[in-house]
Amino acid sequence: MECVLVTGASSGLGRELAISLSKSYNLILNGRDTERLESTKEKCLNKTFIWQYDLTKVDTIEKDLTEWLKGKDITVKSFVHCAGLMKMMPIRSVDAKIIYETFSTNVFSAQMIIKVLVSRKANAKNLKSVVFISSNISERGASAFSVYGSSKAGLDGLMRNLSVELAPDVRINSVLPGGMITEMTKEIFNDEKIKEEFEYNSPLGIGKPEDIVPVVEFLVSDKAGWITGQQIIVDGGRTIDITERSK
Amino acid sequence: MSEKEKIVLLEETFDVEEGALNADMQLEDIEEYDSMTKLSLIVMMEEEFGKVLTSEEIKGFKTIGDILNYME
Repeated sequence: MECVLVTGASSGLGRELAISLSKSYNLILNGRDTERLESTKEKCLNKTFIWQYDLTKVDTIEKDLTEWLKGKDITVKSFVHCAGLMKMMPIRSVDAKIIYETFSTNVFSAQMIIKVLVSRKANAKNLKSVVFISSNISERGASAFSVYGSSKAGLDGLMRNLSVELAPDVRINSVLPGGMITEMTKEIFNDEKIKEEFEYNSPLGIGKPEDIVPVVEFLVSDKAGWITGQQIIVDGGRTIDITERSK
Repeated sequence: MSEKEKIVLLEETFDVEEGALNADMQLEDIEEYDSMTKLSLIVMMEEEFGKVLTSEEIKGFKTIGDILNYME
């Protein structure tokens, strides 16, 4: 059976993506929390499997995923990497632990998962498309985002390099959302001042997961058959706007 | 943790000189108490005290003493 693997599927954008993708594909949901993954699964339509795994444990991803796929006798046709760890912190608060956890979840895990999915032994070389959920910060910069921002830049670097290495068998692209209200960011947007500033600086307003889902579905599908190695910015115009306005 | 130790931790978080802070100081009078320091405060509270500091709670802090009382 062929499936789409969605990491970070227990909440936020990952959950919305899984629910929508399940209308067209069989799914594998990945996350740390089995209970929350089950609650995503309940809303999915097609055959849905749960691969419970903490992606910060990069060292054992290859072994665990290979054995899990074999045990279930399924292969992965597409991979959507939505798992993301974001902690805003000034450089003075950064420590090695948070750098390692962020890069492991956001970048290193994706690389190890793709290694498994392009393997003949583990996945019968069935992988056709990959979409990374990056961020519009990947190409920009912001205070307190040195860890998260550099991880997303790293993720897009991985995307570009693998898109060349794995062509023409596998297409890999990134979607770069801007500020959205999700489980990961809700605390930031609880601050009315920040929310107002975001709305003010985004020509199309603050985004929602529904704004990202159709773009990912397109890139996963054969309709995007001649697109690889690209960053698709979906941020309501946030990063294109250089208008100087006074409030 | 003693009050003295908490003050040392806050001085590191605020990135100010040793001895620069005391419990009676008004936060609005401290130049270094900006958005970056507030983020550092969130990180420090979680790491040192296992507490998730919300933006509402931060708004409620008026003095260094208010923050010290939260550090338990």
